[in-house]
Amino acid sequence: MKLSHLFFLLTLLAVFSWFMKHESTPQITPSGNKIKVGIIAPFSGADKDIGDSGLQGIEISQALIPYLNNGDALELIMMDDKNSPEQSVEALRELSEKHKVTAIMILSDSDSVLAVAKVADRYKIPVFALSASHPDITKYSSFITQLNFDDTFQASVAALYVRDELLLDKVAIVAQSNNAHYLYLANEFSRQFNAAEGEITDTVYLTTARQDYLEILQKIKDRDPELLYLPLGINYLFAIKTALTELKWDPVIMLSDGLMANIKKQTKYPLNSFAGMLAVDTFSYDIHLTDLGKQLMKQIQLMGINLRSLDTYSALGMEGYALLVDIMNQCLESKNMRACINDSILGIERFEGITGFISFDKTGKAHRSLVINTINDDGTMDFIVQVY
Amino acid sequence: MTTYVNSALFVYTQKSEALVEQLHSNCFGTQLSALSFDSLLLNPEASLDGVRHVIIAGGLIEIKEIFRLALKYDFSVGLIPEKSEKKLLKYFNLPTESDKCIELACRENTQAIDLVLCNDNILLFKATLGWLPLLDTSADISKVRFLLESFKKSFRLKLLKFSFTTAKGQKITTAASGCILIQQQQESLISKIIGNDSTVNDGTISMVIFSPISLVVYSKILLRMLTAFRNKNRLPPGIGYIKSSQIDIETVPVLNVTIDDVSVTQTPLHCQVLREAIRLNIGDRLSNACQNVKTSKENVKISNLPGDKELDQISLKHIPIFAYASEERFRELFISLRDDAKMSSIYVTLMILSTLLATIGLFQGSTAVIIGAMLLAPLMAPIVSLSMGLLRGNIELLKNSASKIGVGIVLALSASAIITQLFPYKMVTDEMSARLSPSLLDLAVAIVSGAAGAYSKSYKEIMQSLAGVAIAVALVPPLAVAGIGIGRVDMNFFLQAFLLFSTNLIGITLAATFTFRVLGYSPIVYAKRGLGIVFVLFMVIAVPLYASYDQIVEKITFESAFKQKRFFVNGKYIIVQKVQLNRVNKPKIVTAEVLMRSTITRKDMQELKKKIQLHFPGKPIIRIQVIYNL
Repeated sequence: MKLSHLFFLLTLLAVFSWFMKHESTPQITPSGNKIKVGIIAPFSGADKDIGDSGLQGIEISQALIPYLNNGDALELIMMDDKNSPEQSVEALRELSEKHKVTAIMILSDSDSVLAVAKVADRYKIPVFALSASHPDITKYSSFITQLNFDDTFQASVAALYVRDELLLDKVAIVAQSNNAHYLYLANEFSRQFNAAEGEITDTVYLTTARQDYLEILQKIKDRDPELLYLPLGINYLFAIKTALTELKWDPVIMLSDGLMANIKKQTKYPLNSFAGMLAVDTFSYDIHLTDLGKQLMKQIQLMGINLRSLDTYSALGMEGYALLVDIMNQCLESKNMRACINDSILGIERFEGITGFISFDKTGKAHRSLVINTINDDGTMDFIVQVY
Repeated sequence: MTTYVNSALFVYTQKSEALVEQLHSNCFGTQLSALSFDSLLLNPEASLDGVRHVIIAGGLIEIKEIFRLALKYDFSVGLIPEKSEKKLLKYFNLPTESDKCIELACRENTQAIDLVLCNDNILLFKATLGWLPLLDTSADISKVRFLLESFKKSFRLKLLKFSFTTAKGQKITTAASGCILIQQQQESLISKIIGNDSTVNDGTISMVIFSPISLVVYSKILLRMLTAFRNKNRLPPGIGYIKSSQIDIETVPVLNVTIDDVSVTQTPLHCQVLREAIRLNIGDRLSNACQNVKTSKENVKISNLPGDKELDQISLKHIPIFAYASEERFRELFISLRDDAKMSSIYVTLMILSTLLATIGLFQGSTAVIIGAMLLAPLMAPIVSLSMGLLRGNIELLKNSASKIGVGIVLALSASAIITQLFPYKMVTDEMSARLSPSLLDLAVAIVSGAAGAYSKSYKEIMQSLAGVAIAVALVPPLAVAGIGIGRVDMNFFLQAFLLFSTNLIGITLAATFTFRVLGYSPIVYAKRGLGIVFVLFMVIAVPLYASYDQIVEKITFESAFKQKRFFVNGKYIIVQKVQLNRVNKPKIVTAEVLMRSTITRKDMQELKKKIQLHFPGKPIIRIQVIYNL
C-alpha cells in the first residue's frame, strides 16, 4: 500500500469518527401550534429584580429549546404578583380560568408559593416553584413541584459546614421573623447545630429592618460567638452590617439562599463591604457544569449576555424551563397534558440540571446539590464546596 | 578645471526634440549639430563620419543603440536620459536636473566603461533566467510585501538543470530554479547576499545562481535577504556565485532570457565583458570609483549548490519541504553511524550492566539507581543508526543496527530475568507498576527523546550522552520490567512492560527519522517503504495506547469531579478529601478518603453510595476510608 493511500484512509477514518462524535440531533420543524404556560413572579415592587432575573433565565432556555419534539412552541403568559401571597393566588386563578394554561412556573418566595399550594388542587394545574424552598410547599397539594432544594437541607448543611468543616463551636443566629422561610431556616439551623453538639449563643428574631441593632449585636458579641448565621432579607442585612461596622466587630457571617443575587443588584452599599461573607446558594459561576449547563452558557454567549449579570434566579429560570419542556415531551401523546405533566414529574430519578443531576420524590420535592459560596470584593461569588 | 568638447553630434528623439534649441545655445563652447535618432539609423556611417562625441537624449533603447554604434565607430557618449529612466540616471550617477545633465554631457573627460554583450544583446543592468523569487527585486521593498510575495512564489519553485562555463573554462553543472547576471548589484536585494564589490570597469560580470533545494532552504535565503546579514563572504544555502569576464549558460529545457526587463533571447547564452569598451560622461562619484580599478579575478562559489551526482535524481516537480543530501556532503556523519551500528563487546557489557542496575533499582524502588542505569545504557547509537538506515533505505545500516538492538533486547531481558530469579522475594514496587500501563504520554516521551537523539547526533557540539539519557529514560526501565516479568513467570507483566518498550522504541525511531529528514539528511529519493513500515507499526501500537490514554483522561476527570464535593447523608456531613479511581474498566472501583465528625453506619454507607452513583458516571464500586476530624 502506498504511503499516500494510508494517509488518505487514516484521514477518512478521523473525519468519520469526528462526524460520529458530533452527530447533531435532528432538527425540529415548527408546527405553528402554541401551548400556553403561565409565569407568576414579582415583576414590580421591591422584589422586581427576582422576577426579571428569573424571566431572563427562562428566555435564555427558551432560545436554546424553542420547540417541543412535535414542533409546538411554548407561549409564556406573565403575571405580576409583587411577591404578595394574595396576588399570587389571584394570578393562579386568572391563568387557569382566563388563559387556560397547561402549566405554571412561579418565581415568588415561599410565602406566596405556600398560599398558592393551599388552593392548587382546585385548579389542577401543575405548578413549578422555581426558587421557593420552604419544606411545606409540597405538603398541601400534589400539583406543586419544588425545583429548588428545601430549607431543611439548606439549614442542616449550613450548620454542619460550620460545625464539621469550619470546626466552629459557637454560633449566634439573627433571623427575620415575619417570613416563614427565614424563620424555618433559623430553627432548623439551630436544631442541627445543637445536634452536632455546637452551641447557639443567641437566637434573635427581628421584625423590622428599622430597629436599632447596636444594642442587640453588642449583647450577642458579649457572648463571643465565632459566626453569625443570618437568615434574613437584604434590608435587614444592611442594617446589621452598619451596626457591625459601628461596633468594629468583624465575625464570620453566613447568609441564606438567594441573598447573593440581591447583594449584587443593590447600589446602596459598596460591594466590598460584603466581602468574605459565606452564603448557601443553588448556583455559582465557577462550578462544574453539566452538558445542559454548557449548552446554556453557549446560548448566553450567543445572546451577548454577560454571564456575571446572571444570578441564582436566572439559573433556576433556565433549569425550570428545561425541566418543563423535558416533561412535556413525555406527554405529547397524552389527552390530558396537565395531569400527565404532574404524574411524570413525580419520581423522576435523574434530570440533568445546570450544575448536577436532580431527582424528584413522590411529593414533588427536588433532591439536588447546593453550593456554599463566598462573596468577593467586586460582589461576585466564588464557589467553596458543592454538597450533595 | 572642467573642459568641454569642441564639437558634438546631438541625437534626439521625438520626446527630446525640445532640447535642440537649448543645446545649440550652450555656454560651454561646444558646437553642436543635431540629428534625429531615426535619421541616424538610416545612414549611421555617413552621419557619424568624423564625429568624436555624441550626446544622446532618449530612452534606454536609444541609448543602448548609441552604445552599439560607439563600439563600432569609436566615439564618446554624453547621456541625457529621459526623466522616466530613473534606473539609468542612478546607474551612471547622472544629475536629475536637465541643465546639469547637459553640462555633464558636453564635458571632454569621459570614463571608459565595460560593455556586456549577451548573445549580442547589450546588458546594462541585469539578465534573468528561470524562476528567481524576489532576487531581482529592488532593496527598498517593504518587509510585509516581501513576505507575502515570497510565500506566493514558493508554490511555483522547481529546479532545472543548468551548466555554466567561466572564462577560464571551469564548467559547473547544477540544479537551480534560475540565475541572474548583473553588471552592478547596487541597491538590489542581491547586494544583501553577495555584497557589492563590482564596478562598471572591472572587466567582469557577476552571476547569482538560485538553487533552493527545499522550502526550508528557500526560507533561509529569504531570511538572509530580510535581515541585513553582515558576513557577505558566507553565502546562504542554496545560493551560488560566479564572477568572470565571460559566462556561458546552458539549460535543460531551453529558457527565455530577459535582459534589462525585456525578453530578447533564449539559452544557450553567451555573455562576454568587453573591457572598457566605450567612453561615457558619467557622474563624478561613479567616475571617482572607477579610478585605479584593476581587472577582477574570476571568483566561483558553488559549494552550496547541488552537485553533479544528485542531478539525475532531481525531477522537474515542485521542490520538497525539506532538503536532501548526498552521502558525500555528510560523509563524516555517515561513517560514524556505520560504526555505531556495528556490534562491539563494549556495547554488550554496558547493556548487561545497565539492565542489571536498572533491575536492582526497580526492586529497590530507587529512582537514583534507575537514573544511574540510564546513564550507562548504550542504546542511543544503534537506534539513531536504524533511523538513518530507514530514512535513506540503506540496507546494510538497517541490518547492522537492527541486529545490534535485537541482541541488546535479548541480553537485557535475560539479565533482568536472571537477577529476578535470584531475588528470594519478588515484590512489585511502585516504580514497576508505573511501567505496566503504557499510554500515549509515554509515546510522547519517546518521540521527544528520539528527536533529541537525532538532533544531537547531527551536531558535534552537543554532548551526545545527554540525549542518550533521554532515550534511555524511555527504554531501559520498561525493558528491565519486562525482564522482571519473565523472571516472575508472569506473562501479563511481561507483555505490558514490553508493550511500553516497543512503543517507545518505535516512537524514538520514527521521531529520529523525521528529525533527520527535517535536518536535511534524506536522500533525494528517500526510502518510502522503510518509513511506511515504521509508520504503520506506529499506528498499530498507537491504538492500544490511545485507549489507555483515554482511560487516564477518564480517571483524571472522574477524580477531579470530586474536588470540593461534600455529601450530606442522614444528617451527617462527609468531606471528600481524596478520591482515586483504581479501576477504569467496568465495574469502576473508587477508593475515597473522607473526613467526618460523626460515626458512619451501614445505612449511611448505603445512602452515600446511592448519592455517588446518582451524581457520578459509571455506577462504581466504592471503598471509603474514614478519618475522624476532631
